[in-house]
Amino acid sequence: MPILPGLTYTLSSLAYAAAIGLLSMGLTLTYLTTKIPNFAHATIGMIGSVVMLILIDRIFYDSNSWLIFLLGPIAGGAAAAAFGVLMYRAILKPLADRGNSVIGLMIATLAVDIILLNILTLILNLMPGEHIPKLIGANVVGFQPKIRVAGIVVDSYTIVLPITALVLTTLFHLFLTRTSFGVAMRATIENPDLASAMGVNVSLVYTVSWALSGFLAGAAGALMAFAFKGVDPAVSALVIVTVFAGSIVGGLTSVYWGLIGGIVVGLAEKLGTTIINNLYRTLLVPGLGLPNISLVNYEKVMSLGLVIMVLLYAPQGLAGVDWGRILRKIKSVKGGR
Amino acid sequence: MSTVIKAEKVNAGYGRFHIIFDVDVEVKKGEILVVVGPNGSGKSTLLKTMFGLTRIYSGRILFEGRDITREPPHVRAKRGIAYLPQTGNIFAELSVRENLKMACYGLEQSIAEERIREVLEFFPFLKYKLSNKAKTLSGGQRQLLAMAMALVRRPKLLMFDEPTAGLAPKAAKEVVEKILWLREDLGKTIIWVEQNAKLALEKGDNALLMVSGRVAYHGSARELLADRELGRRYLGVKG
Ligand SMILES: Nc1ncnc2c1ncn2[C@@H]1O[C@H](COP(=O)(O)OP(=O)(O)O)[C@@H](O)[C@H]1O
Ligand SMILES: [Mg+2]
Repeated sequence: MPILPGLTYTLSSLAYAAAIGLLSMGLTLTYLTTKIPNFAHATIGMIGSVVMLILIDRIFYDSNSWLIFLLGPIAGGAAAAAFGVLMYRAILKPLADRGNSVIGLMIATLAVDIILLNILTLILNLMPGEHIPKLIGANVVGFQPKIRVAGIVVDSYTIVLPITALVLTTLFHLFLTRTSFGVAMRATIENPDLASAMGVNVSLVYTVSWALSGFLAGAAGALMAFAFKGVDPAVSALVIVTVFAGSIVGGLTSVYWGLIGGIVVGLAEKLGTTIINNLYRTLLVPGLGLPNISLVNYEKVMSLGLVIMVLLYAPQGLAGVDWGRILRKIKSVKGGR
Repeated sequence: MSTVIKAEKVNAGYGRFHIIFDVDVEVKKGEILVVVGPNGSGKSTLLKTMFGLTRIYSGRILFEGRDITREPPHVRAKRGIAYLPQTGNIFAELSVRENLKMACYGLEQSIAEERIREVLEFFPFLKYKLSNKAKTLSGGQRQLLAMAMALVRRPKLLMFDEPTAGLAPKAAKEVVEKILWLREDLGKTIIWVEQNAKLALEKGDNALLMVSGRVAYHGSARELLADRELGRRYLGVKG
């Protein structure tokens, strides 16, 4: 048994990590702006998966067109963004304005999560499929254009997802640094009172942050529809754990570190678990006579283990680590040789 | 002289915490009103209330005769009120240039650029710091950046909350000189909350003494300085 996983698995791990990265980045954004830990975030991402499924059923059923990778994330992202805005304006903001604590708001997001989950499940249960007979739990893996990498046919979404993450992050970065509304968003995150003193409509900034966060989640969710063995909104209950782990590992102080945290945790869950499993089974099982069981189902142990490590040894997350010092140290060690 | 801002029987606070009671105050155009009082007497809360950052339970606030009691801060800012909080009056994580851009928020690009050029002439040291993060500036430089940021909007009224707190004497002196210059050369109206009562009362026109959230004195700054009883009791001014 080789230690390193094969190409297909590595690509799907990268795609998963990119999706978690986008979700953790959005989660960090709304946490930074409105101070609300959003437990509905993964289910908001599932809106994107549901939209993708419906698009496949109605439009892209036998076209095999690359357009699905453009239209899916945009439509899924837009739907999720709209829901994010609705959730913030109709429920969370009124609750916050009435002086509810973070705990109260967090519970509210849990309630929204359950409601949204049921709505999405209901839609997929009740909506008659045009081509796909049963939408709930439908497997859409076969509906993506085929692509070859190093002579092997791979799921094209695994190539598209990391590229999409890169494009969206770049656009988001340009928005934050090059547009005055983006600079105002960073300013509001640092000091909302002062931002309002500068004439910034803080409440609008908050609303837009929920829209952006929703869009990132929906776009990721749309592409992740191809990763599931069946599109079922209930998957979000597992995903949200990883998304929070990614945000916490990132440090919850910077959207970029949120992205990196998500990618790190996503990779640890997939590649990390598999590599550890392979090591275990090729070295420890024969060597020490340990029970020959598979460890690949213990993904969440990896992500939550990472969270505990980070909270113990780097309470500010990866963002709080003095990378400059570490780099200098590495350089000096190299130079000393 | 026309009235710039006026509070009428204002009661305000944070949520259920009622902090200031029945406050009446009036500031005329071109005046420096110095606000003094013991720690926790509600000076900062008064400024925040003028700017719309607290909950107003009753009373009215008029700016140039218009009722702004229910207006949110960003609207008050557009009307010409600048508020420089005690701490956090610049964006530490943004560059000096981005700070100045934020100060021009909502202004047309060409006007914004012109205004920034204009204030850089008033505060030349900033020209050499444009790309630096604001957190790298010294305490005095930060106050001056905050002042520059307020000025790009050409406010009519500037409200300073303890602008010299924590500054070295030389830096504090520079900040005070700039405040006086704002009034003398630019004709601005100023509300100035200051811990160092003696210093501010000597420079100001009128004074407001806050004690336990109420107005204990509202009148000439020099007379308050001369009032041994009030001075000794509340301001640490030796009689
Ligand atoms: N955000 C807040 N929430 C509740 N109470 C506050 C808040 N800010 C200040 N206070 C209280 O209001 C009172 C007046 O504070 P403040 O206006 O800062 O006084 P001063 O500026 O004169 O020192 C104090 O008792 C303080 O504890
Ligand atoms: Mg104060």
